[in-house]
Amino acid sequence: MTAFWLALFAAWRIAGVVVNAASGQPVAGARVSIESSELRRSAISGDDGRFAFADLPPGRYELVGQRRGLLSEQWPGAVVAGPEQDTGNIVLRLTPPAVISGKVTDDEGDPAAQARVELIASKIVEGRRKLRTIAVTQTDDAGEYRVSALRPGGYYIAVSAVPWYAKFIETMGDNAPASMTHSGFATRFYPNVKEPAAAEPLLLQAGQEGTANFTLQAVPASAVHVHCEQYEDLTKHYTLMSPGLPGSPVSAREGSESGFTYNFWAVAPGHYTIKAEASDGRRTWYGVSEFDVAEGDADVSLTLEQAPSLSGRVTLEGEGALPPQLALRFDDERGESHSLAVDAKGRFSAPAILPGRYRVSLSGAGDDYLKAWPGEGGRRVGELLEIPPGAALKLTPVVAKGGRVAGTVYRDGTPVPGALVVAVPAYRAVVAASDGSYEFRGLAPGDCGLFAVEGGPDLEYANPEAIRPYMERAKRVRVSGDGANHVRLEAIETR
Amino acid sequence: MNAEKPGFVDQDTNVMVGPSRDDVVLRLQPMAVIRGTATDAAGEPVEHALIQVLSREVAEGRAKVRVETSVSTDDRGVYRTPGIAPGRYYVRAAGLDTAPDPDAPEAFAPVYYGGGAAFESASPVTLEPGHDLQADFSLNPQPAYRIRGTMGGCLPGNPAKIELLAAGQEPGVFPISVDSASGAFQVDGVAPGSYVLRAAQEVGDERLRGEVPIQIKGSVDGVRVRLSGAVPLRGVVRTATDDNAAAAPPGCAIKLSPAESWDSGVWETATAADGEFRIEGVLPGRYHLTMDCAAGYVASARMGDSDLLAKNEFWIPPGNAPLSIEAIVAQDGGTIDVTASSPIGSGLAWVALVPASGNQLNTRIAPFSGKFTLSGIAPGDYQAYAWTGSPEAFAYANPDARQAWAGRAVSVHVEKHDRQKIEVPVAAGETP
Repeated sequence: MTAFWLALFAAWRIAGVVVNAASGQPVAGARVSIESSELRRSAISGDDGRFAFADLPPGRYELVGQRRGLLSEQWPGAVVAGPEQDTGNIVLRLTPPAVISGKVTDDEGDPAAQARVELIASKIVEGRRKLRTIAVTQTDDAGEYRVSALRPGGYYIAVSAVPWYAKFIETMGDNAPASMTHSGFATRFYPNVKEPAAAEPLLLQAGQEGTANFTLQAVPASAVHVHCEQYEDLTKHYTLMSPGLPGSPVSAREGSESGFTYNFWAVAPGHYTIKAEASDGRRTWYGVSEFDVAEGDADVSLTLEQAPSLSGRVTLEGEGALPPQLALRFDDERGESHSLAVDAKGRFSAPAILPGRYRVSLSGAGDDYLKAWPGEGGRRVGELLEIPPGAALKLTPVVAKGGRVAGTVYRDGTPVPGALVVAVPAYRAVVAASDGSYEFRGLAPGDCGLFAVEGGPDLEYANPEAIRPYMERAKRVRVSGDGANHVRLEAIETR
Repeated sequence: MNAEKPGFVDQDTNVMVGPSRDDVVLRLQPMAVIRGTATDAAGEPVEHALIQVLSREVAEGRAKVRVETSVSTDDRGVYRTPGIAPGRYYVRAAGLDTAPDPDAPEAFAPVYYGGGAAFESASPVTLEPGHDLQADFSLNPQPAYRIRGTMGGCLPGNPAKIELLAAGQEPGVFPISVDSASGAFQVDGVAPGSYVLRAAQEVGDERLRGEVPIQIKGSVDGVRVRLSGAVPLRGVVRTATDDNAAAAPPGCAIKLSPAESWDSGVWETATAADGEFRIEGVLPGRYHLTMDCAAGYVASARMGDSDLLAKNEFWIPPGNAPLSIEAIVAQDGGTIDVTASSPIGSGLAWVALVPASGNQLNTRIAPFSGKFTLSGIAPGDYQAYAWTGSPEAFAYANPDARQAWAGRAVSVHVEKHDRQKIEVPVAAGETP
């Protein structure tokens, strides 16, 4: 009997071709994998780039392609196999990786070895454009560095280094000439400029190798003595940061030591932020201070404070149980994310979280949504939770059953795959599947606007300004906790 | 005067001043670089291949492998290992396919520069100052499997190290992940074969180790390895006497060295007047033991049930049970007068006498100036070797090394109390 049903249902096919996204040529020897909630299979593309999976049960499949020498790629939406589905002509585009390489030299023309090279790119994170550190590497003995497997796009580059001869202060102290021990390099940005405001992104096409060379200028520099006269036995991790691009300071130097003092040698003049963190495994302490380096050595005092703790209990409004994979997410302004697992009784806790402003959201919520997050010890600033220093925060988030909105995206009467579908005011987005279908679960009850954008992965969908032009053409629905809405959307072309 | 610059070997120079000098020349030796490319059989670059620069040394007659430096290839398959001091090195490459087939994962089998799949069969390269060696590798895939398991008896939350050792070979190159909180570990890219899986922890002064033999024919889950701490090894050596007269103290120098070629370190101790000795902090594992006794040769040596004269290595089991060795030294050995068959130059030379069984307890090595008398030799058959250069030039405890020098060896049979003369050819040893 089982065999009969399998024969009836396992009759669908997903097939297509893997192509090079830059050249359009078929890609042979790529590994293509499909995965649904029930099965996982993989195949190798042939000489003509073609791949095929036969005898599949109907369902929604994730399709991923990978090949040595090309960037791995997931087909943007799910591939829906089943009756009346055209899944025989999938085109999976693999992008040739871009590379940035270059050489860092000092003003004597000598290679700057072990210089820190940081690549920063602007990315859409949770619907907002943010500058993000993509990669950090070091130059080798020849002053050369290389970062590969980059997606096409624009990259800012920051280079910081310490002259190799500055180390003589450790062994020779004041016997070493100041021209050696008190020389430093200021952070440089592509294209070899000193000011972050003059920084430009290095633009890369798919498969392109960009070159970014830097010449570091030795300037009179200072020693920075950081005094942190608490918890002598704990190892304190220090990060010295210089102002970088807006919202993305550059971590110029790092070091760890127990005791009361830490020395950064050869720090070039400028404005800096020093951060210290220490932990005994249970509790975490932190300290931050800002200071300027001008002439002469600098003494900076840091006071460690115990980091705020965060705990609480999620309650479910109405009947039922909490979803098993439920987690509370706290995203700070820098884009660092803390995910706190919620147990079966609704409890969650984080022994240490740094002060700051956080966006609170749910993950793994299924049909539920975050209705409210009242609490004690913190402060609500607009949509954000502000955690003050020294707080012992207790939150009692309320989760309730939300509504579903599903439908299909059309263009000229035909379903289209891959459009970005945005729901407002939830500011959530999903990608339409191969049959044009999309679904939102756990939307808050109330009025909801929906629109679909083709070619929209760069859309800042959580930024009200960025989506304003699309909102005029949004469909409006009333979401309620019981029942689903079906909304047909017409794809809007990206602007 | 001292001069240093990145890329050069630090140089100390003595300079006489008085009168004033303005012609001082400080010479800096440039360091060597090894660089190259790793490609697969199709000529495509292999990214993330692990390149290791190894050196060889000999301790207690056994070759030891030391990893000097490790680097990864970049997206072009290119690597570069700068700052190599002049010397003799082995370079090897290995790696894991970066886009593996989950159903049939493959790894790149280790291969040595200049050919060879194992350290013992590889040939070294000699790097001169400033040498820029181009060492390219062509890597071939082989089937590879995964090992998963947990460590027992470890100190949770502290860093733990997992190594996978192929019997008699250098440690393999595997991506290994360890969750020190739960003790779970995973090793990927393991080729079929016999291995010893070793787990180790070092927390402050406390050292823990455990080993488990493992056969790989496919992926393995649920491997358990138990860690336990170091134990003291005690022993007593007695001198055998023909009558009931008081025996002379045995006067033994005792050395315990790890059997694995990549483990370094030798424990050394000597017997006290009453013949007792003690070695602290011995971790579970395989070891070699040598005893060089003034009173004579080792006539018997046992640890519990195991006869240390019957095999060349012995096993310290995990657990905290105290271990104890009992040995007897006999004074009725034979004597050999060794002469060189040809003149030896002015440099150092060495003579080694190795039992045909290969057992190291009664192996003897001595400096050699062309004439030397070895006395107190255990009865039996031996091979004698002599060579010039470093005592480490000949790994006399290694059967392969002895096989390679079979043509230079002189066979000798020793009886109790007898005395004989042998002539041994002296060849130049190879610098390890």
